[in-house]
Amino acid sequence: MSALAELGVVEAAAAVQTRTASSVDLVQALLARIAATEPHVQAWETLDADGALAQARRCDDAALRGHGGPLNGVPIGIKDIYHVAGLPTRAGCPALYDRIPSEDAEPVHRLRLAGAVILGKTVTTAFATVDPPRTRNPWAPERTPGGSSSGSAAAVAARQVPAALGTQTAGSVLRPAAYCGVIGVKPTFGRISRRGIIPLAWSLDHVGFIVRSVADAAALLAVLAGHDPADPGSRDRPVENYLAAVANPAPPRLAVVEDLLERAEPAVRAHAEQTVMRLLRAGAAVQFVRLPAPFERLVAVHQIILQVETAAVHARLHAERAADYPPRLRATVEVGKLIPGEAYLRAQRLRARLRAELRALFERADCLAMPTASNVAPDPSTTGDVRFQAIWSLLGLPALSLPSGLSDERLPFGLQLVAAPWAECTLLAAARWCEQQLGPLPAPL
Amino acid sequence: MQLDALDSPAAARAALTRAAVAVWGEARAAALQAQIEATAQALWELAQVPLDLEGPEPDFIYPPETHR
Repeated sequence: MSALAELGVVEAAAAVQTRTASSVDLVQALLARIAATEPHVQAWETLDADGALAQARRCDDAALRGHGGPLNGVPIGIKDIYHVAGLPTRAGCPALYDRIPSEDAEPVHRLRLAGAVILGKTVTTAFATVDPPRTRNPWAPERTPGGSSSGSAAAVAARQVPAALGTQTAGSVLRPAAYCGVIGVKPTFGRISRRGIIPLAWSLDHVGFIVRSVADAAALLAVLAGHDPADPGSRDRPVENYLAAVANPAPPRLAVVEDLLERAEPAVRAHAEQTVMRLLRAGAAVQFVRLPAPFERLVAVHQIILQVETAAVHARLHAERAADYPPRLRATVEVGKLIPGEAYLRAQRLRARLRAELRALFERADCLAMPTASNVAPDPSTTGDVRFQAIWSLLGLPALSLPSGLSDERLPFGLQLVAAPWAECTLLAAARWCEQQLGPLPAPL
Repeated sequence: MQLDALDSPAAARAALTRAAVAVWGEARAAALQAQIEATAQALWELAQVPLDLEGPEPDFIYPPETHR
């Protein structure tokens, strides 16, 4: 593997800026890496080699003239649920959706303004739900990469690209990141615009992304964050200095959520407890806390809202083309249509109460900490267990999954950190400090 | 289906199954059993938390700390 394929976002941007490597070199190295590994990983829906090389040449010209944004020349993958002008959007379900948009989704637009090179579209599960994708886990082809941002996580893990956009409505960024041994970030609901992304459930859909270092996460969030009046969910909140937050982080105050530890598989729980002890010995302040409401209630509230909103989003398409739907999405829509309106409203009222009750946990801790998933990557008949990530999507809180080690079967474990609303700086600082203590995972291939 | 009339997960399952048969037909309702089971458990969780007049206002799309 070329050393260029190992570069992260910040390193690649610096290489292009200082002209120690060109953006064309980077794109060519990644295309070679994709050619070598894609038969095993199957992470890409559309690879835009010619377009990426043309973009890279423009970025190199900009660097030569001392111009270019903070991501100038850095190749990035885009989950195929986002619109990218001139490339097909198939949403993981070409039988139902296959269009070539003329405009970029807003996050893609912001990446381009920063100088990023769009390398192509990564595989998503059908409409970002739970029908399994064709993508395989780079650590073990007989395991799922997780979903729904399956191709984004697998491609970043396989060193096919240094970063990729995903989306999360339940656990679709953090879980594949954990299963594939990379970093997944989902900021506060409303932090990043969702304009130009095919919706799944309006009140739960988040933009997120996958990278291999916390510094890269800060660099990407700095470009993506910000108000967009054209997205009704976007909030006009100050964008803080994420790069400064990760420069010299102090040991964080972590609140380990016992409810989730208790529900993790034994190997996951044992590893999480060992990880917490490592962080404690390194200087973190650690306490153990319980959720203010039963875990099953949080999961139930998320499930009812997700199903009803998904049924509403898909109402017309399902009415016309039910037979073309993949089976699990079809079942979600059809049972979602049977849920009474009162149940949806009760779920939304409980959501408001749960969010208020949870706030107290952040008075004594910077971040909540827990395993990202109850298990390591299971077989590819599912995309894994969404529950540990879904409850934070329900509450709209910023969350990050950090690789924390490998199992006896050489499958990655993930440590999930969750911060208070809009506290992305706190989240990234804590994650950077933990990353310094835990170290990186090796490349899987 | 009356949420507050549910007194067990089985009652939620039965109510959802009846609705599925009525809307989608018997064959399709049978194919939906796994989803019906999971949804019935979720409805039962909600049914156990009745909310009164002065309970929280629904959240809809926007988290309260962001727009109120």
